[in-house]
Amino acid sequence: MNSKLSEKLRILLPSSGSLAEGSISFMAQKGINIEKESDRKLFGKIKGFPEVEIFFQRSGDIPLSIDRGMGHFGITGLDRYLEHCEGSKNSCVIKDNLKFGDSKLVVAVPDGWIDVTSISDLVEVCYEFKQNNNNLRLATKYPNLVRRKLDEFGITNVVLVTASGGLEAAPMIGYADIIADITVTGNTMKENNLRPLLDGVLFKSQAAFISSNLIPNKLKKSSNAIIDKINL
Amino acid sequence: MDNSDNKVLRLNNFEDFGPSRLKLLKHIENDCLEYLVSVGYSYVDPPILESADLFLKKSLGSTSSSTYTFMDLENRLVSMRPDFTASVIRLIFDNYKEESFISKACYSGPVFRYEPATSDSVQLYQVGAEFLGQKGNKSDLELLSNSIKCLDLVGIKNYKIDLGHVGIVRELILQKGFGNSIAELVLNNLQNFYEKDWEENLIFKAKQLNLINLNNKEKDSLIPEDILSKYKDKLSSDLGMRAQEDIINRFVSKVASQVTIEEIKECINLVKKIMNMSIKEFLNNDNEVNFDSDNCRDFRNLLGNLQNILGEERALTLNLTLTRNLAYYNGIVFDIKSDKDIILGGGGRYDDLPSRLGYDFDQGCLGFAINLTKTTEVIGY
Repeated sequence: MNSKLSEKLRILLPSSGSLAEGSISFMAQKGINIEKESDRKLFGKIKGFPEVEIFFQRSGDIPLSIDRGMGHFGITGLDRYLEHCEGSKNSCVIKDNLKFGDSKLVVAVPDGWIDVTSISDLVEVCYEFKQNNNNLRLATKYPNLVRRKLDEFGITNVVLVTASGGLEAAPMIGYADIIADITVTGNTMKENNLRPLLDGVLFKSQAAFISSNLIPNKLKKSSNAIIDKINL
Repeated sequence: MDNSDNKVLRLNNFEDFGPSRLKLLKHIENDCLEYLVSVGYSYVDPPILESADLFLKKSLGSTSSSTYTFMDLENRLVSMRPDFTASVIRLIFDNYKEESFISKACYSGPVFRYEPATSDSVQLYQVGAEFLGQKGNKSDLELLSNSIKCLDLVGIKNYKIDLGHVGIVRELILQKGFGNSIAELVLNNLQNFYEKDWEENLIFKAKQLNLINLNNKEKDSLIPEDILSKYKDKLSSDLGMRAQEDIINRFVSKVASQVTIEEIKECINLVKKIMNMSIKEFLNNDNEVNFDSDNCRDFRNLLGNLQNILGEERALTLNLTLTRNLAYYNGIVFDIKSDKDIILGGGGRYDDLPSRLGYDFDQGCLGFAINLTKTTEVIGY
């Protein structure tokens, strides 16, 4: 950890989207009021905690920043954390359900696949693809999480195609056959002729409070004060 | 001076072996190997690191989340072996063809399995054997006898053997007219049979998997033209790389195998009767479940012979819920446990494994392994 970082306790919060609003509200509910000079500024401070600094990052970048010691505490989606850092010894989840930022990682197939309604159907479809010398391709932003979950179902013949956005169009464009994506209502999937599987929820996620395991001793007093205040 | 910030700690779930434990482990290992070699097994030593494909093909991926897999320095996907079986079979078929073929091999060394939910050690030491080229209960009995002999040699007393048979339960379910999907569902969930909500959970899963015709309504027409007409809009939408014909064919076979809720309950009752059967009932075939296939007769003989070998001081339990890793076992499955139910070893029959690994061989394959890490724990060091 660099020397500059270890001078103050650094908290990383999402910079945009519902997780950003939820994080600010969550902290405020706990009596931690974040002061930010303008909406464009990507750093701020907390009234009454001069030894703490706040940085705003994309929620997807926060897990690795914490894991690599660039911040001490952070709020991000549990799905994002597990995707990048599950099993890491450098960081941990202090609380995994902050009661906002709900989302589900769901597997969806083309609506015309009337024979496929559950994950177990996919096992047979994988074999069908294999017999035709193809692999079933699944597009997702969460390859690690999806791979682990599919392994649990014994589905190993799927080729994961990592994509960053617009996954619902992947089967129509042709770079994947099915998708696993975050959804709240499933409407976008439906409008793009995709149907979530009945047991296709691979993972349910909320905002999580995460911590580095490398907080220096001299910042322990500040970090304990934050933990006490947030009452996790 | 103890500068704790600079100390590199041992990895979680890895164990250090001091001199006394290592001495005991090596002693047990040597005794077992000497015995196995004396009864015709060849000692082999495959590499710890193999292509990840070898273990994926072996388990069809069911153990991939507990296997250490990574890209090596030549960008190859490799795994640290989670057990010996696949490596030993590869070693035999790659190196010993025709006259020099090794049909019995024994091995020893570390295997690596990551089980985050437990505090079990990642690195386990095993000694074990693979037996190729025989089907039927004679080779089953030979394998079981050898594993018993190894345990006797290492001085473990009062151990117990739980013996099951994957093929028999499947056979009975199919004989009663249930389809493969129901048989798979039941077998996959048998290991939780003694849990309170087993029956409820099984029915719930069957509903989720669409194996139950919930409304007890007349099944839809299974004539492809009727299906095409009923689902015309869906089937004319973008189907990706799948052919309409494949989708309809799969739909037909899926709907055809659906059962009513009464039928699944009937299947559950059948399974309960089988699971609650004692060895005596099974041997006498005096239960209302009629075990009368070749497999059942063979298994009955095996149980009888094994009872004679074990005598009265070592318990033998018929445990048909032993169905771990169904993608793999196809006949007997057994666990060897200490008097405190710590699993010291186990094995079974997996005849299809050589062909799954790409070798043209269909003459039987079975094996066992003893967990030396647990065994030394139980003996004490």
